Amino acid sequence: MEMQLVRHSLCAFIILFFAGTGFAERSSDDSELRSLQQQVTGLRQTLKDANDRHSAEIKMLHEETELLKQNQAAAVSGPQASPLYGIPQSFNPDISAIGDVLFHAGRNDQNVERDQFQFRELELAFGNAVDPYGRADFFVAIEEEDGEWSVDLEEGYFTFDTLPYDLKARAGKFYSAIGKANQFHTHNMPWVDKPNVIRDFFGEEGMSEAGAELSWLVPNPWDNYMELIVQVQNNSNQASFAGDQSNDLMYVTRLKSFFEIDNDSTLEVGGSFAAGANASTGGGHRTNLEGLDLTYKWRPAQQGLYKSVTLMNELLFSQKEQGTEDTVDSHGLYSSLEYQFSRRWSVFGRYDYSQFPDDSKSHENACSAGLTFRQSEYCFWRVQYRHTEARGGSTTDNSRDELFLQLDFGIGPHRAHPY
Amino acid sequence: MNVNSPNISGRRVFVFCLVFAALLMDRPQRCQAQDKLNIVTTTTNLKSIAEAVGGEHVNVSSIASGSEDPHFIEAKPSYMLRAKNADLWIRVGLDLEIGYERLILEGSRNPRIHIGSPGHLDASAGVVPLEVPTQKVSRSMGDVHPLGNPHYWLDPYNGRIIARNICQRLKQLDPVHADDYERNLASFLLKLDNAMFGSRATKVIGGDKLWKMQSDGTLDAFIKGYNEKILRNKQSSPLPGQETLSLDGWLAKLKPFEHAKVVTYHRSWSYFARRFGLDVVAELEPKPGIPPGPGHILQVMNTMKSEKAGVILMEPFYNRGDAEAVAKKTDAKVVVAAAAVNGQKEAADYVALFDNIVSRLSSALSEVSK
Repeated sequence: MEMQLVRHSLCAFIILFFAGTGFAERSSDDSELRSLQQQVTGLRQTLKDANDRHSAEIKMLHEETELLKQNQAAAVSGPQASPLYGIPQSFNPDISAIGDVLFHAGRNDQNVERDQFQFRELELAFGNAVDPYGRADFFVAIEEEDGEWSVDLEEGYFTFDTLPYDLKARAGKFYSAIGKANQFHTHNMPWVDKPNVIRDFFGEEGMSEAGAELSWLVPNPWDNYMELIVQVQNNSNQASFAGDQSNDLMYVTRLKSFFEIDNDSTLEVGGSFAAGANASTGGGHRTNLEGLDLTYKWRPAQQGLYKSVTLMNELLFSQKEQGTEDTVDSHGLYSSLEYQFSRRWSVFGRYDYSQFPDDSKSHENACSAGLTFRQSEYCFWRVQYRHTEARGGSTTDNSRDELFLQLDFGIGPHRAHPY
Repeated sequence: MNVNSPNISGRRVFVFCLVFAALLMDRPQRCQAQDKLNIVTTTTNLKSIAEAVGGEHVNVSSIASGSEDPHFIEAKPSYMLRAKNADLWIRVGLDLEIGYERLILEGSRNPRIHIGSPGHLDASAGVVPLEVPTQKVSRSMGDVHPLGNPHYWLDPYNGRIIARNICQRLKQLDPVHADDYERNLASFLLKLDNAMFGSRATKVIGGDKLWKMQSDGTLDAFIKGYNEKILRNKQSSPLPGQETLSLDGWLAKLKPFEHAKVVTYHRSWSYFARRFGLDVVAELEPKPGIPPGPGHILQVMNTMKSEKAGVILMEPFYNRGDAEAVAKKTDAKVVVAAAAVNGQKEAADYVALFDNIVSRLSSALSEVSK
């Protein structure tokens, strides 16, 4: 019993003690409690703010990660991975087909020429890298001549473009580097026809032969572009060299220099030399050709879409040894001016003078004028009038008036052309 | 050149081949004696960014001058000479340079900058292109780019990607100065971010976060929320230095004209319009690269009237006459702004390029909105 009493008393004492103490504190400092309550509320708010901020940041990080994943997927599988750019296609060469249709109306003194349409040429161009050391380009011309269709390899070559010492080389079949006009493809000419001097000295198709070429960028104190080209080709050109009897080689050298006069205008000066045996009259006879060309171009940077001027001049001399130990000294030239006066339109004029490699007593004088309408980058229309007068020597004096209408159109990517 | 017998010429050809074969086999890597890296870029925009990142360790030149249409650059031989000595060639990519790049690279005789070499950088790596065709493209669609719209540099965000790409490549080519390139990159990015959002917002929030939120369309809400918190904190327990934020820079200047309808000459402003919230309702060109004809012009004028488009935005190299004629009949303003560094004298570098566009565009838009 005693023990029980003690226990109860102790409990009562403890209860009274704690209750007493609490009461005493509450009554002693109410303001302190309020301050504590405020502190707790402040802390709660700060905690909530921090929590909100962290949640927002975590959400943003998640979104960023998602975006990065998407970007990465887009970068990997983007346009390149679409079916259009699949692996098999990317090894295909760039293929282009360019058609050239002509309507030709001509009258000469005897009035014997016929007016007619002509599908002059279908050029097929193929090109791509072969391996890390170079690329291949093929230009196949399908042409109609006197009712017969023929397939001709205009050019086809391998370019070694990773050689050291600023060298570049080609092997295959390509246009001889004599002047500029000989190297134009049909769709890239600023006129309907090749200048008379080119046709008379190299034939209708120009001079393109199988061979090899090495070209070098010549260092010079003016730091100008200067290129030296050396070509070794078959001497199978009909007009100036051996033609079908070709069993020897022709050597061509060209030095070309390029000057930027100012931001808008440039000047290109070139000198060419070609030499080889012409077997037309037996062995041992040779032809030497010397050419000079000068091209001035003006295209104001800001107005470049709408205005430009190109002045192109070439002069060619030929010494062709003949059977009687005579040498025929002949020459020819052309001078051409083209003025682009709006985004799509340009006018041009050309003067031609040409003797013949086998006959310096005969010559042709021709004047041409024309208008080009560029429907788009891949299609143009051209009208050209040409008046030719042939005089002297073996040719009968005569004059011809011709009108050409040309439509040139291409599909495919082939459009990067030398300046 | 005197060839008298086939024997002699045969011997010459043999020697020619021998020399040639020797050259093929022995292809030493050229060493640059000079300290600075030579960089050739296709456009002035890339040049400006490459100069900012490369700093004193690079010499940069650009093929384009900035005044011309970047689609129609001709492969002048003088460009090949420049490319000949280049350690790094930087292109815009997405087929912008398809008309001339190959000729310059081949003509340069510099294998170090050929495609696939470390010296060849396509700056578009990592850029998300717009207007990527979803079907087989043909030229009936005009001058379309199969890889997407190539005018991506007109979004300053892509300027950051270009700068990072350049920095990474410079570090690879010239590891000795890697720290400098990183430092230059950081300061270029800061300059760009400051110009875009204002220096205070960039400092407080950080460039990366700002671009992210701007791209998501969450930036305005974030700024609002941020400012509300600041104001709440100010009332309860003010902390020193905590001020409300407001955007500045290009974004703020064009903010009042969000969703303004504009017409452009060529489809070159898509990236810019997307970044700054402008709606391009028509182009003066009927199809990319095809000059405007009377029928299409009439259609554009009707669209401008119905959509209430008050501004025609164009580059200086296009015919202003076409745009002026349309503007006159629709009471619109023509804004001629360079899309390339040095295209106008105010556009002296990549940041100034946007200063110029934003200032010309915002003043025209505020005039027409009066």
